[in-house]
Amino acid sequence: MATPRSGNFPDTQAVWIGERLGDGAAGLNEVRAFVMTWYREPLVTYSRALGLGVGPRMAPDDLVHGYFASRLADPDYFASWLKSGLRLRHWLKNGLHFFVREEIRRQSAINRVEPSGLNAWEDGVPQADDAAFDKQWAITTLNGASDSARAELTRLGRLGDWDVFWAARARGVSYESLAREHQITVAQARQKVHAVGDRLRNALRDVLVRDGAKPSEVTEDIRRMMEALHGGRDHG
Amino acid sequence: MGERVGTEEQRRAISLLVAMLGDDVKPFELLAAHCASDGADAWVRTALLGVPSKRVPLATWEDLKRHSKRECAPDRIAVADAAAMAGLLRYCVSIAGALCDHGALVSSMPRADVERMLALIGPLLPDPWAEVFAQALSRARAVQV
Repeated sequence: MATPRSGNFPDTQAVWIGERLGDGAAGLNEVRAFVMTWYREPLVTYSRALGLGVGPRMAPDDLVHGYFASRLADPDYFASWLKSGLRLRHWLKNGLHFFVREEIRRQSAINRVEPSGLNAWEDGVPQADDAAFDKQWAITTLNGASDSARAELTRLGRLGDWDVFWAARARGVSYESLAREHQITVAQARQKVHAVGDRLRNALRDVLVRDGAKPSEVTEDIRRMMEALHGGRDHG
Repeated sequence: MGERVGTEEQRRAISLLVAMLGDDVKPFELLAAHCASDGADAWVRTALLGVPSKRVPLATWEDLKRHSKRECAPDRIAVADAAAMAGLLRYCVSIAGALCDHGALVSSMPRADVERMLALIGPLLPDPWAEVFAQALSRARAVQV
């Protein structure tokens, strides 16, 4: 995953994408790269879980590729999202469902399918499932944020700090125990845990804000992601 | 509700989220990370040995809550030792059991936190506890204060 740029975010939604769209073709390319990096995998997994597709031979990968190819080159598509008030992920998920219906109609016209056959095809398209998509998006986004944070620590030659952080925050190991184990002071252990936690949280915050969250809502969004992991259907 | 959170990536993601909360973390969220870790099912079954898994009088759940609360005082949760986590788990189970069996809220925790705890912890537990938490959540949402 590409490392999103950290920085101070004004307390308004979707500023980053709005600014990029003002930069012309280069900005649009940046937005497309962001969308493809952070949303392709959850959309593919979501399509597979729902059985979303156009005809029996269309793989989820091809479906999402076709959807991106048809929409993401158009700056108006993102401009419409900015006006929608939706989180970007929900806009894209809804867009995928629209794309499927469009494709069914297009292919039925090419193949001269009778209206009754077209109805059957359209009836077979699953309803959108926010819970299923949010779960996939949460997993992908968390993995991406974690990868970004770890890559940055590796670059700095401090990947060992991740182990200290993980032991403290995920396993509840005390700072005193960590200090003994890693032969550092308690203050150093605490500092490492906080530094890695901040790095990870900033990486996630960047994605959440670009998705449409306000920076002030990030803690609440983390809790919503936790709930989202319990929702929807499994794909494994 | 009631769906088991079974995949490795889901469990790792829960641990990541809890880790990110840092100082904002709530005890039951730390418990979630504990329940999401490797080998947690065996740990849960050991921690819940002797805890009723069938309908019991409300007083039994209240007794369990009082007893387990002493085992998971905030200063112990900060250390997050296994005994404190086990006490916290039993505390959560007592809340779930009282709600599930009697529709009674025996905790002074804010209702939103109770619902969040039930929704978060339940799917991480093996049966019959996952089902108890699911029914408790359903009743918590239905019961008026």
